Amino acid sequence: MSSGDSSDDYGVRLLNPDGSACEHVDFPALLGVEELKGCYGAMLRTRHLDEAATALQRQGELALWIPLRGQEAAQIGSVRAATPTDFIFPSYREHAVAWDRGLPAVEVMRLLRGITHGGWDPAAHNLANYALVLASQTLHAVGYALGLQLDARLDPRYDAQAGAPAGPEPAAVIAYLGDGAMSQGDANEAFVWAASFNAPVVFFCQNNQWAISTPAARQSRVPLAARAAGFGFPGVRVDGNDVVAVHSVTSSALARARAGEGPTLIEAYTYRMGPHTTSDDPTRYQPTGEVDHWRALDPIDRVERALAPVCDAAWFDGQRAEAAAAAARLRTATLALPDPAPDAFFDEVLVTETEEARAQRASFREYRESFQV
Amino acid sequence: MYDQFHLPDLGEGLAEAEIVHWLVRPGQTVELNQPLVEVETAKAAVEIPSPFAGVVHALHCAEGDLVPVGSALLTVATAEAPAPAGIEPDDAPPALVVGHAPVEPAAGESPRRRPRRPLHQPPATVAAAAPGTTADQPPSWPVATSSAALSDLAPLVRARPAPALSTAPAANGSAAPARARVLATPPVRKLARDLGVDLAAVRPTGPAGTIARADVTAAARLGAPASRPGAGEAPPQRAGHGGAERPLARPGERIPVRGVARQMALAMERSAFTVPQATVHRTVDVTAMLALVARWRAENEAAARPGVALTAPAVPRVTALAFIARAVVAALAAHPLANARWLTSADGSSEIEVFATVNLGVAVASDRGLIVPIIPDAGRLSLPALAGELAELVSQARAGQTPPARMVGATITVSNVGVFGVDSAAGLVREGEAALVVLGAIRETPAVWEGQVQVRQVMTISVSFDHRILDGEAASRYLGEIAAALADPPRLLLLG
Repeated sequence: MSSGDSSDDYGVRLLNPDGSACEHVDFPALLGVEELKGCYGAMLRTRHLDEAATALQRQGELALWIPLRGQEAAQIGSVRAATPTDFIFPSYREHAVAWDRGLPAVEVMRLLRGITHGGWDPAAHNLANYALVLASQTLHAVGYALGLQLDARLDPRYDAQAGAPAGPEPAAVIAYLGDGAMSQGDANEAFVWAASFNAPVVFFCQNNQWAISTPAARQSRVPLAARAAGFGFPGVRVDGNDVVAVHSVTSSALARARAGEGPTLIEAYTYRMGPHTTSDDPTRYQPTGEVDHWRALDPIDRVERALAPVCDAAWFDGQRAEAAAAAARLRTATLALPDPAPDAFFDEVLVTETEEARAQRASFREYRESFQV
Repeated sequence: MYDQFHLPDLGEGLAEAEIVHWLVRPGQTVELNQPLVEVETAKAAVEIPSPFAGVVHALHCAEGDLVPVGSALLTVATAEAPAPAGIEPDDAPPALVVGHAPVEPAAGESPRRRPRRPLHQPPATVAAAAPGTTADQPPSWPVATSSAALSDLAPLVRARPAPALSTAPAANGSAAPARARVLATPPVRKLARDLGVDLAAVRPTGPAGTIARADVTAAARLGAPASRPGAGEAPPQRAGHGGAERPLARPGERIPVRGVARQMALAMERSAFTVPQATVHRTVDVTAMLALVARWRAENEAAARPGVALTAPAVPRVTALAFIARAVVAALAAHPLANARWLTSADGSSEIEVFATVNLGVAVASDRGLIVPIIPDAGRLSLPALAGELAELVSQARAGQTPPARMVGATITVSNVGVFGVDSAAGLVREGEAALVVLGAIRETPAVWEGQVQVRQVMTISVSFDHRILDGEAASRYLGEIAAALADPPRLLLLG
């Protein structure tokens, strides 16, 4: 892969793997100790929930699970830069993002247990449903961002000269995608469109090094962040295992979007420490030693080292106990999920059910009931 | 309380998984999410974490088994709801030995340990079929002759996991492929299944030749032929065959081939279609050898009687099979090419590798199907030691407890099809070996003995050989050496 990008450049970093802080000329650390403690708790909880869900899949309770181990900082750092009015378009691995937005953990289980086609109400947490079709969410995100622009023009406070909303906290959009999705046509169309219309969107790419079994280095000869230049907007690589740096870089990109400066591509340089999904066996393709290399860069350990001087063992124990309890609750809640009624798939199709749909529902019910002896 | 854990679909539509390695043993305490077993699917090798906390009661499949999704993996006595006091062991779910197919209790039938049925005829029957033999550990091998092939099908049928009613109801409802296609809606099919009506025997009155609900209920009243029995019902058994009860394959039935049976089938396929092979036969008078073994046994029994003064040293127990096995192994010293294998390199060149040691494979019909456990380095074993190893090998195989290391690595194999009453067989040489020695039945036969016709104990021994390694002459010489030692037991001393 001599022509590919397999850089040792981890990008913008504010927290070294040993837990010590460092500085960056463009991106100041915005998280204080209390906020960092909050991030630690969220990341630790994420890991426990992720492990519980993986076990549930192995036990036949979930059809599939998509582990995110190793990507906790990229997700928590970025989502914590967003405001509640921002709208998030996840791909399918953004469990930490979803949970941190306030979505109950078990809601994600419903989708992967196969008892719902979508999952949750996107408006409830300004969080779109997962997109299983690679990169499709980037187009949705750009479309939503364009909608925000149009909404802003209707706002009496709109500053026509600046081309930006003048009110407080204008909303922006984050579209999550992966290194594999960066090769998709949809993603590239989204970049073009976002640039053409200066859409208030942040493309947050978690480069976890593997598109299932294809290494990121094969998919790009340049750092993924460098591709943004070709579309005419800034691209930043950030150490995806550094929650402080991810938060800072994402905050900066969202600020640009709110200020009407258009899209930004963030490449969070991280690593998928587990399989692509529970159907995958990474030992078949990962070079030996690679996991060990990244284990030393574990995003949670890094924050633990940073917090060690200011938090005592009892605090860490409390966090672990809390995370374990959340995992146990998730297990119980998942196992208690009721199967949907057979005709439930009619429920979310039409806001106002038509006569035809009502007749279909009735006919389906009748057919189902004919199974009763 | 007992909880059974069934193999889930681990990867979006997988049908089966191979048991690679058990990480727990019966009697072991396990915690929630503790890794239980490593399995490999077509997609991934994964560890399965325990869904229960408790004590492992039984494992239901063996390492190396290819098990379908839905099969019972293990039973755990869970701590949450302890078993009521005074529970009888027989009220526990069937504690299946590793390697057994799961047996689901029929509805309404209390789970009960099923008596293990002997797969083989008891020794008395064997003795009747082959007078004079002490073939108390009858191994077997699949052979090209039709009668023996039939005998060997039965273990395959036994190895078939019973479909679990709860997980695979459709298996019972699907019509046999040989029949005309039955037209019926799913609700009617379910009704037929619930009422035990075979749809193929129902006269359709519905539109376009479909079977209506009323047709099924009418057929049920008239007592139409029942559909194939469900998993919980006792399989039909062949009676009056020396107590060997084997389910018969039903006409039109499709029998999944899995686990040991599948491994055997694939190995046979490779042998038949990749190894050019031939067989030589030799009939030999084994009267003297049987007499010697009988005398040793008498001395052995006499020495074991209490109160008998030791006038002579005790004689170790040696069977006819052990004697023959010793001759097979010892004769290799002068015929090393019979203990070899054919190797083809990637560049197309070929080599013959002569094995440094003799690992004697012994074909044994077990409940899991035909397996070939080995006696490692059998060439250095004395006759009594070989006899002891043989006895242990067979009892382990029957119990499904052959250590994995003893399941591979045979360099030459012996198969005793005589226990099925056949006189000789052209067996299939196993892949990676040069020769297979097949033992026919020992029969009282009129034979010429010292110039006169007498009733003698005679058997036919066959050597199937890889014709790339051995030619007819070399195989015949090897077989001749074995035959000579069996006809004239002192010659065994000259071998090796």
